[in-house]
Amino acid sequence: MRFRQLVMMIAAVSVATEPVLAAPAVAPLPKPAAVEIVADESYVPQDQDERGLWMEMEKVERELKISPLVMRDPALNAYIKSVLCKTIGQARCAPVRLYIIRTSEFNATMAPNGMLEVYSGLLLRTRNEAQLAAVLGHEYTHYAQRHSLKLFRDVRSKSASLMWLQMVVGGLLASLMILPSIFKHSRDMEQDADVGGLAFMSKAGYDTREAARIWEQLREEMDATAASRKVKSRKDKDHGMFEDHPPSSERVKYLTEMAAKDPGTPGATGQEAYAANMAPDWGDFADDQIKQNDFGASDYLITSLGKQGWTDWLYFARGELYRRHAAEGDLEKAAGFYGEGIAASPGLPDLWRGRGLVLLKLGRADEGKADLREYLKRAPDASDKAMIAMMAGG
Amino acid sequence: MKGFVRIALAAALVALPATQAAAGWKLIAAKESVQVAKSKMAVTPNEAWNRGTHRASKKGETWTLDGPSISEVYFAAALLPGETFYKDTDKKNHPLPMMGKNLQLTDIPEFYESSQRIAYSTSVYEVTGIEPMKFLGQDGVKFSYTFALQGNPLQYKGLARATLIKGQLYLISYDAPALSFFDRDRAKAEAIMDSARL
Amino acid sequence: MPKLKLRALAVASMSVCLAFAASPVAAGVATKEGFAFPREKEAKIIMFRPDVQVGTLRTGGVDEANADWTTLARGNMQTAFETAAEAREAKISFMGEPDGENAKQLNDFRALFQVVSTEAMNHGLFNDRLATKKIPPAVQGGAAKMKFDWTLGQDARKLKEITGADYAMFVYTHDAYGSTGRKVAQLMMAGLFGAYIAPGVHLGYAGMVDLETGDLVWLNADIAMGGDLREKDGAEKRVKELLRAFPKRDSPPAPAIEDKASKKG
Repeated sequence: MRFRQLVMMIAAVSVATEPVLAAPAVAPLPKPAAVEIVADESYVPQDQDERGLWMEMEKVERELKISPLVMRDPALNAYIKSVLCKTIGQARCAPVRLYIIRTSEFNATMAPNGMLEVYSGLLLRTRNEAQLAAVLGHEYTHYAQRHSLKLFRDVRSKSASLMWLQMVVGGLLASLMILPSIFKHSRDMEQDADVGGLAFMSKAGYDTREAARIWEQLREEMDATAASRKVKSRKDKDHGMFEDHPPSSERVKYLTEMAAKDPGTPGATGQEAYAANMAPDWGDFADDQIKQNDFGASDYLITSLGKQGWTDWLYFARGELYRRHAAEGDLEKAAGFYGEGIAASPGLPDLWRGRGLVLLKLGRADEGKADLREYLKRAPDASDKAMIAMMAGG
Repeated sequence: MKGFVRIALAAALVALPATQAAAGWKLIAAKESVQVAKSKMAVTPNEAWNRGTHRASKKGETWTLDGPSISEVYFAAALLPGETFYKDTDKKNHPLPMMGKNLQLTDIPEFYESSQRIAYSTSVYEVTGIEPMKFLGQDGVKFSYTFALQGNPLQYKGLARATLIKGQLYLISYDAPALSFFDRDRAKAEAIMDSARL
Repeated sequence: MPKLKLRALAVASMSVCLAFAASPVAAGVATKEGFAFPREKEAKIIMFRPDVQVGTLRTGGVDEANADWTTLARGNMQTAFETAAEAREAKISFMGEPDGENAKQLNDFRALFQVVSTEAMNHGLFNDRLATKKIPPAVQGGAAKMKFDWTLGQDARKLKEITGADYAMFVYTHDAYGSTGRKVAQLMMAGLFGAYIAPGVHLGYAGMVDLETGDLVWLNADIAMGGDLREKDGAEKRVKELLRAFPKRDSPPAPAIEDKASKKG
């Protein structure tokens, strides 16, 4: 949390200093040295700075404990926690408090006091257990290496320099002089966390190639967003909504190189277990995503999941996406997706609702009304039954 | 935390503009018909309300009784295809959905839901009921919803009525915290909706 | 669509004034018109866990929490509140973090207070006054009044059953003492550019809810509070400021609030 917000703060400042970001970064060198893990369950904050950070985080955690945004489902929580424990080991994972936040954003953060937040948007984007393990190991490394504390101190000292400098050379120029070093520091920590995360993956018996795959997927997703919005992809610029964890090509490169040296257990991605455990929630997460008005990314995510096996809810999500997008030809495609969903497994009444609405728009009134009636037959207590009944012609 | 960030930022870059512009509120008198959202839609409230002078969109208008986090009535009027419910605040990363062409009444709750999810950056949002209802003398739709926001511990409930007239969208919504307030002010908000005329 | 984000709340409107205003002034206090403590019995007040933070404001603006100072401040503040309550012939009891079977109700109530008090500050005490909260002068040239009628609603009654208290109080303080560098920077910014940067942060507010009606009967907020909570005397001073215009047991019903902001406008 603190870490994310510090990075966000820096990112926010960067709005005023776009040229700094646009400048090519010096190619980072992978650090093969093993990551030193300093934390365990008995860890207590060591000094005044750290105790202060913990105190603030404890306040945030008290709010989180009662927040309506946290998903309390015991099965989902138990599964994510079990992947964490498998990744970092039982002793380290025992004191971690997990909070799954319902949001379509891609993120996970671990606060200096051992509070771990995992966003549901992340769970929609990681394709298997190995990828989730890579992220959890990465976050745990931030925590174990006290990165928040280091960045906090760095920002404290550099923001002071910034204050003095801007009196001499002016605000913008001072920012240009100081901010790159804060960015550099933050990037170095990201890299350290990647190194640590990959080591955890390997030790836990996962295929370490999956770590680089996450960032490749995010890059592909950004391309898909850009293509549908007819703008230039930001994957090599400011990384858009992924700015907390920039999916840079350098990152993919060094993670791939590291995986070649330390492959872990090739082939062990835990994809089936992941899919089985996510099945009850993926439909909701996909629904959150398609309501974000990002057609390209949503279609990319749905079809990516589809490659692992199309299900009724995936067809439904794609039908909904195309029905809402409603560009030339989309409604016909939507009708097709709903139809495939019905053929795959007729357990989801909303498939008929979606297809019925689409067919009405396509001028195929009789078929559309028949579908809507079928929907009402299958979902007699639907919250929109009166509305749909009217459209179905009584 | 945000305070921390804001103060830090403020100190670092002295020239940043204030993010929380004072909205300013104008009195809406009780029992008087008033045109809303710069349109021909007129309503007559039973009690005095506050109209926000800072508009969430060119075709929108916000009213409140005790502050927008306690009660909020939102009017959108004469929205055309290609227009959004609110002003875009982060068009690059999170553009608001635009009104589509040839809308069905069932598309309106979806359009509003998606707009609110993005404007509030929340995914904790559920449409809990959709039914037909006359609005502005036309066939319309009435829907209810619940949502929660980041950094706000309360859960909110809302209801809205909307219709399409000559391809233009009209909507009045009301939302308030589920605790204490939604039921308390609901009848006042519904009376405003009942009174709406074109 | 402009709902509050409360993690920012505590500091929100206040810190923005603080950070950006050339001469930061944001303070206000209000007692609901007609409010008086019952004379016949001692008022029982339950105090929710005060939200306290004490730390350092670093040169570049980093607002750093200090856990030791905060613990010290919390203890000093509690003592000072108990003394102040005694002097007012009220009984104050302090509540820990809600847990157990009533946790949900207690948390709900606190959440309502956070939202309602913030709206009362933003749209009542401070300058973004709601039009319906202004009462025009009764006679021409007379004083405008402010209607201070925010309430947490009927759900507050549940809290009376749970706690047995008549009133609930909430306190928030946030202090960040300027480091030496910060103070120098402030002087230099002022001297060189005539620009204002805050030399420190000393925000605080306190509010009281009548559990019979749910009404917010008293609210006091100030972005420039005095008294150093880390010291016993300082804590007494701070609590005295936090309790500014707090109704006394023998006070007559509170009069309508004069609306200085409106008069000016």
